[in-house]
Amino acid sequence: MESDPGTLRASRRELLEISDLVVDFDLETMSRRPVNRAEVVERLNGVGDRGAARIVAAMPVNGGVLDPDVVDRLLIRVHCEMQRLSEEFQHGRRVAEFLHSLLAAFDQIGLSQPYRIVDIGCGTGYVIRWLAARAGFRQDVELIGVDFNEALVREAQRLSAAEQLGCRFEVINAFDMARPATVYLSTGVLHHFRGQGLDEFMLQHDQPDTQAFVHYDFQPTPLARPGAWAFHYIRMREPLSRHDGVISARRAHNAATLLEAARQTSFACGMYGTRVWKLPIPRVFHTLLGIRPEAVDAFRQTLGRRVGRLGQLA
Amino acid sequence: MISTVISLYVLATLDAMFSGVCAASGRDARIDKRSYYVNAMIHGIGWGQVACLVGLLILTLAVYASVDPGLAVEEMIQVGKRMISVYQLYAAIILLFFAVRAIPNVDIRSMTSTVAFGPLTLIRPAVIVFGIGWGLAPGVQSTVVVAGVLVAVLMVPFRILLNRWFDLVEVNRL
Repeated sequence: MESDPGTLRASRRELLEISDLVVDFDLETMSRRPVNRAEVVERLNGVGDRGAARIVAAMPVNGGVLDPDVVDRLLIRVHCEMQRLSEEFQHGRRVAEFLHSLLAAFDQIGLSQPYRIVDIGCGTGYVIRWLAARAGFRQDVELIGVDFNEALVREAQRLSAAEQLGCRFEVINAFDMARPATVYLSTGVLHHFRGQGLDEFMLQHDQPDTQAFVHYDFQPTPLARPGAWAFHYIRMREPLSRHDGVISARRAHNAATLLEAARQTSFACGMYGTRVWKLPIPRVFHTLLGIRPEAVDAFRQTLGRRVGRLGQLA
Repeated sequence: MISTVISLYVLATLDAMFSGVCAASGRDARIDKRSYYVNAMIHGIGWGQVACLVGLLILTLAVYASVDPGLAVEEMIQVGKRMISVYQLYAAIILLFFAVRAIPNVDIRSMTSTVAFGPLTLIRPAVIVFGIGWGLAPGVQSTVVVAGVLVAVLMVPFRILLNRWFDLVEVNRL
């Protein structure tokens, strides 16, 4: 008996990340909204995720509202654990290699400088801080991390000040900045946007000064779920980290979905680095790239031997 | 006898050092963490010395509790030699992957984490139990078996206890 795919999709359990539910922001004012614990627990129970509901139910409340300080401290710890995974995956170096090729291509086509790289949903700013510390970019490359969560941004600012890094962090919508980015960047952010939200997110990149976007996210493969479970079980301590890490991998968009959304923009879009070398082994992360069509040829050159990792740009 | 004791001590200290790094990982978000990890290794080694002393105490008590202390010492040496053969292999595999990690390639380095260090961390308790089981397998007197089991009980949760200690340090720091 064949099932209707629509019915299957509808009956499939909704996957929710705890970190998306325990904080809420007014997108106009960027101010924090109170979060009622019982409502979050009910929502998680409603989708059958009792483990997640138990994690939230154990969080302290003031008058039924989740204690924002406790939530902030927890999220900072979670981001610290996530940074460990990024370090193990050499993510900073990976992004740096890619951006060096991208900026070299912009130089080659005579783009006006300085370049501004903005990391969307930067959290505690690992990628931007790594780039500031180790990438060796010219002084005129601005490195900026943005996030809605003020506590995470404050932590990113504290950490960058402690190591005297040449980067900055702001609580702002990346697309509302006075000067748009030359390159928009993100890691593990795309899967948070679903359906029309993903289309809207992609369309916002289409700003006159923006030359490219580079978004890293989990690659949904048969190995992703057991791999994410094992890796988060071994490496993470916070139950929230373990839960959300696995859910993130399960929620990840496939390349077709990402490209369908990205190709609504005026950028030439494609996937980068889906396989390890030329082996049939999928990488944990795949990269959605959008680049202005006039920079494509230069970028192919500046990628050098890594050009084989670049999928079709259209 | 001396070489067996020294080999076991070196392997235990190496394990304690790496346990320190594991327990400290994911707690400090700075980019340059060299001094942090050196400090973690020192703490791991320090607590490793405490564990070694407790282990030594267990073995000493087992010898005194034995009906034939001379035979107990002889059996412990044989058990230790067999344990070393297991732990040496485990340590050699870890050190080999560290050598691979020295290759300056992001894919190779990240693969050492996913394919090697992650699973090797996961199987550490099993390796400890297997090593002691392998050591005891030829058959020894009951006091030596009890001592072996107690040493396993000490070694298996060492990393978990070290984690708890780093939790306390973190709470105090905050």
